[in-house]
Amino acid sequence: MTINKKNKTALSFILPALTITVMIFYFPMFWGILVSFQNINLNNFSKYLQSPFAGFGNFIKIFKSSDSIYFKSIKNILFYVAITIPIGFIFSFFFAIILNRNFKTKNFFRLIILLPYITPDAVIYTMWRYMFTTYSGIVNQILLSLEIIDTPVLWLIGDFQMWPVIIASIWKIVSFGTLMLLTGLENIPDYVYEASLLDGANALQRFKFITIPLMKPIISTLLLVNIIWHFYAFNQFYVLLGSAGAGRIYDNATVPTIFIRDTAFFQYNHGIAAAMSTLLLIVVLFFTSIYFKIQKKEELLF
Amino acid sequence: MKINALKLKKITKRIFLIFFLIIILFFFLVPYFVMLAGSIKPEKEIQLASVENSSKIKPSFLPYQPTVENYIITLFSGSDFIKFFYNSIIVSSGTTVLTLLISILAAYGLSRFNFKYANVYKIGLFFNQMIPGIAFLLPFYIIFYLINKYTGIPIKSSFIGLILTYTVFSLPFSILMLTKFFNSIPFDYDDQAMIDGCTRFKALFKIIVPIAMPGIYTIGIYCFLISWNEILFASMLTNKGSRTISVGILEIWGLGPKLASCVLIAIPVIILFAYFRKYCIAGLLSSSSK
Repeated sequence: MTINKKNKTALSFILPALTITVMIFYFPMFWGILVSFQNINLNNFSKYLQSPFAGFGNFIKIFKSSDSIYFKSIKNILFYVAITIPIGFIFSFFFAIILNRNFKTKNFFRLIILLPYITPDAVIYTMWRYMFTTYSGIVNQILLSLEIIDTPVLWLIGDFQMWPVIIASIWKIVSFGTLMLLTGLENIPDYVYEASLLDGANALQRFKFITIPLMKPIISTLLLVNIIWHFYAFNQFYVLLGSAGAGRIYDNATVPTIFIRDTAFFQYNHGIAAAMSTLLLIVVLFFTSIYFKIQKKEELLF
Repeated sequence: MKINALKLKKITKRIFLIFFLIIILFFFLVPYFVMLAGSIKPEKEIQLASVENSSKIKPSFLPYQPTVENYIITLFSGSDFIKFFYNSIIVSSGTTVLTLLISILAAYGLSRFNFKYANVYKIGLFFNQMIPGIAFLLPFYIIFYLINKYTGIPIKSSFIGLILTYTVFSLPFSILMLTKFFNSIPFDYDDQAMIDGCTRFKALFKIIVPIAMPGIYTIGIYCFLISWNEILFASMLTNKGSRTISVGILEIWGLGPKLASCVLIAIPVIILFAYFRKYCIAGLLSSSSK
C-alpha cells in the first residue's frame, strides 16, 4: 500500500492546520496532563525541566484534603448551572414563540435579541456589576423604593454573591437561546400546523405534539452546549466578582476555573492546579461525548 | 355579532403581542441604557450616590448633570484605553487573517478529497471545540516561560503567543463551517478551472474563494469576536504593554471612564454585526465561547 497521489495532495492542504493543531493544541493538552503528575510549585518552577514526578500524588491531595475548596467549587458550579440553564431556557422558549409571530419590526427585534450575545463579556458583566453595586447601584435603589428590602443588600460580596452572576448569565444566555430556538421554530413548515388544525388540535396539543417533537434536536443541542460551556464558566465570575488572587476568600461563589487559575498563579501550586484541570477535562469530555452521540444520531454533524 | 367577536379576538391578540414585545425590549435594553446613562454621569455622581444616606443623591436611571468628561478622559487624557484598543485590533486581525488562511486550505482539502482518516480528523475537530480553555492555561504559561528562558523571545509581551492561541481555538469551528460551504459549491467548477490550466491552489483562490465569500465573512467575524472578547488567556498571557481591551477595561481606573470605555468598545462590535448580520446568524448558531 502506498499513499496515492490524491491523498498526498489532500494532505498538503490539511498540513498547515494539522501542524498548528498538533503543536498548539494536542501537545499542550498532553503536557497539561503530564504536569498533573508532576510536583511543581513556586520553589522548583524555575527549574521546570528537572522537577520531580509525583505519580498520583496531586490527585490524592485533592481528594484527601478535608476542606477541599475544589469540590466545593464543583458544587457551586453545579448549583449555578442547575439554576441558570433551565430558567434561561424557559425565557428563551417564551421569547422565541412570541417572536415567531408575524409583525413588521421583526428584523429590528432580531438585532435586539442578538445584542447581549455579541457584546463583549467584559462589557456586559461590567455593566451588571455597576447595577449591582451596593450603595450606588440601581438594583438596590429599585428594591428599596419598592420596599422589598429595607437595608441595601451586599450583592457582590458574601452570601448573595452567586445571584448577580446567575441573573447576568441568564440575561446573556437568553440571547443565544432565543436566536437558536427562533430559527428552529421558523424552520417548522406551516403545513404541519395547518394539517393539525384540520384535525382539530388545540393550541396546547399543537405545542405538545408538533412543536416539541420537531424541536427536540435543537433543544437538546442547546441545553447540552449550554451545560458544557457553563461548566467551565470564567468570564462572568471574573468580571462580576473579581479575582483578588492570593487574598481571595473562597466562598459560595468560587468556581473551578477561577480556583484553578488562582491555585496555579497565585498560590503557585502548579502541579495541583494541573491535576484539577485534568479532572475537569474528564468531566467535560464525558458531556461532550453525549453531545456528540446526539448530534450524530440527529445527523446534524458534518 | 360573529364578525365582531372575531375582530375582538384579533385585536386582543395584537395587544398581547405588543405587550410581550415591549417586555422583550425592556428585558434586553435596560442594562444597556443603564450603561449609557452611567457613562455620561460625572464621576462624583456615580461614586457618591447612595441608596441609604438621604443627604446624598440617590442612584437614578437618568443623570442629573450629563457630561462628556468620561469620554474625554478615556480618549484624550493619557488613559490606557487607546493602547489596549490598538493591541486588541492587532491581535484580533492577526488571528482572523491567520485562521482564514489555514482554514480555507484545510476546508478545501476536506471537501474535495475523500482521503483516509478524514472522518477521524473531523471528529477530532469537533472534540477540540468543546475542550475547556482552562486545560491549556497552565501548559501555555509553562511553554511561554520556557521559550522565553531558553531562546529569549518575549512571547508574553509580543502578540505572537496570543494570536497563535486564539487561532488554534477558532480553527475547529472555522474548518467545519467552511467545509460545509465548500461542499455546497459544485465540484465541476474547480475541475473546469483546472482543465483551463489553473493549478489547484489557483483554482481555489480564483474560483472557489470568491463564491464562498459569505462563509468566509462568517468565519472572519467569528474569529474576530473570539479574540476580541477572550478574557482568561488574555489575563494571564499578556503584560501591561500587550493587554487586550477586554482585560484592559477591568484595569481602567474610575467607574465613569470604565463605563465610557465599555460603550466605546461595544459600539464597533455592534456596528460590525448590524452590518454583516445576514452572515452572522448561521455562524453564531454553532459558535463557541471558549
